[in-house]
Amino acid sequence: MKVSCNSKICINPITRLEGHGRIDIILDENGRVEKAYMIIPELRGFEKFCQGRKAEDMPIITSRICGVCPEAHHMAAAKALDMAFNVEPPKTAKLLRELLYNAYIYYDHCLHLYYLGGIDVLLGDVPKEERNVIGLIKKFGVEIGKEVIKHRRYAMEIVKILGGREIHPVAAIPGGVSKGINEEEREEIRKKAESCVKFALKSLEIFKDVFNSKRWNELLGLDKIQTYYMGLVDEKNRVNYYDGDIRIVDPDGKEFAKVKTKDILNYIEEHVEEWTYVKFPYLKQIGWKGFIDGKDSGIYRVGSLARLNVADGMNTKHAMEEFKEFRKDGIVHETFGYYYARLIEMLNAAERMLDLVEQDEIVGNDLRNMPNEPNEGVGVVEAARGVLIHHYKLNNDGLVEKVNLIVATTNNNAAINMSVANTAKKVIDKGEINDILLNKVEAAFRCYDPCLACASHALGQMPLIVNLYKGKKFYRRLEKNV
Amino acid sequence: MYSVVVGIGNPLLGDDAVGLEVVKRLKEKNEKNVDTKLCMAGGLELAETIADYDLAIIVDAVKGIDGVKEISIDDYKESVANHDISFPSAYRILSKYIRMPKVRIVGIGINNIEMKEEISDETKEKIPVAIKFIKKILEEENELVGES
Repeated sequence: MKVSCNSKICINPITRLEGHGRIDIILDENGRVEKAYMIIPELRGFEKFCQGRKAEDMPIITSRICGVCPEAHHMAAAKALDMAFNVEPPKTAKLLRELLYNAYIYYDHCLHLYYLGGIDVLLGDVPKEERNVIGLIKKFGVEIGKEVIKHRRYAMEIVKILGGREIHPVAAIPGGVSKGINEEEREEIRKKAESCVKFALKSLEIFKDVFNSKRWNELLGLDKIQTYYMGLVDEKNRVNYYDGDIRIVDPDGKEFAKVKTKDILNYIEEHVEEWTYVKFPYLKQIGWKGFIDGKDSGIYRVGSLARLNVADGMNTKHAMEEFKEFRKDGIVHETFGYYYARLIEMLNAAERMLDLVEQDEIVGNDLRNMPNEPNEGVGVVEAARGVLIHHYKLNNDGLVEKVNLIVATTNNNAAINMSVANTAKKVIDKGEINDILLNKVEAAFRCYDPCLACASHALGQMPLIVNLYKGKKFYRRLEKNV
Repeated sequence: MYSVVVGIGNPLLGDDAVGLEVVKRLKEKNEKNVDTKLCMAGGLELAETIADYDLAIIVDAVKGIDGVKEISIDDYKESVANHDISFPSAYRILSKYIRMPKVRIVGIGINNIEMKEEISDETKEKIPVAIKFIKKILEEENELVGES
């Protein structure tokens, strides 16, 4: 699609996010927002890079796509290989994988809530020099900053114990894991997980002060889109980040489909636009109807909001109580709802760590079943930012023939574009733009906790350049972090 | 004085991995009181990695410079992909809570980052230069605190 415009605002690239992106806002003759697009300009060709490699290397290679969620790629790859080699990991291996995975969800959400997008919720329209953790400390005190650092660190240390390395774990292998834990490590994990539960509860308290304020209603009002939702659920339809079936619900919350992960690609088609390398997945059975919401549009969302919308509950006590509160009025379509959902998940991940570490088999020695003949496999996990799909085809020698990755941010691509456009229309009038208004547009985008590096497989720096055009003529430029 | 030398880079991105290679080779030399670490991301992860040391030397590929040069923290602008908050910001934030080391950053000039696992011959030639540069920094810093 060719974008022609009278006036154009570019936010390029977006700050406090992973990777490299830009937002273009098209103004009409009266300076009102006509359209807005999120544009990711580079392509890295990671899938091609993987072709011909040994299948068992994939959990290591793919975890290097991104420094943000290596655990998600690592685990999706291992699960794809479980299927490709037709091997089921033993119970101990599954428990260890899930434990590692919940630690990842915890530290990733902690990062987003306190260092990245959460700043938009906690601090609001403060000057840009205070729109960061330093501003957070100023408002909430030094102690909270210490707690954030400590608990993010705890969760990362749990990942290190289980994964062999703190970042870019190496433990998950086809058919199981390469290392177990002993009683001493189990005790260390238990203590850290207990502390993580307390901090998650504290975090809910902190954010709820905002949720009970007028400003929260303003934020919720910035964007509400009625899409389908997709997420992993266990056998009781509770949220599960590591394993389960994929449940899809319609905008009314009615189950549209519940599918085995191996069949999910039968439900997804990808739409292509000329102005971005990132595709726009949609539900094949509903179809692509453009950037519109509602039951007749195949656009769906993934991530924390989606997970809590597709589920009937959580698998831990306190998180379940919060879930009931979150869903008391049914499906939540407000995009800023991602934050409340993220907090509930942070609590759930910590409680789940405790549940898992208590299980007797967690210190078992049966860590791996041997793989069978290579074939084809699909691995699906919930990255912190949503459904992540790895699909591999292996040849008879166990080498990778074909790779297809559908990452969370790609799944959310259409919805993100809609949220950016909706918010821009609400906050920009008569072409008037300033740093606070631009930050609101960015904030809509940040709700999704997107990872552009994953989505485009791109490299890049993160300065912010804002170019304003009127009548195709450049007249103003704003910069930050350049 | 306890020091750490951290190599930054992605081993799948050609010359971007030169910082990792420098630190791997430095590790083989077993410098006294010097730890070595490898990091694939900068930002908060890097800042957390160097916490509690007295001195941190960060070695990274940098586009737009020639040869091997020292660069200031404020000029260290995310030469590796995939960052959350910038290293200068992360360093300043953590400094408010925990003991952060003195930081010196060694930039190794590269031209291109592309998806491959080999470092170009041109960049490989800079590896011994960078190691010499790092050793000189370690000597300077040890002299400052009266160690040799």
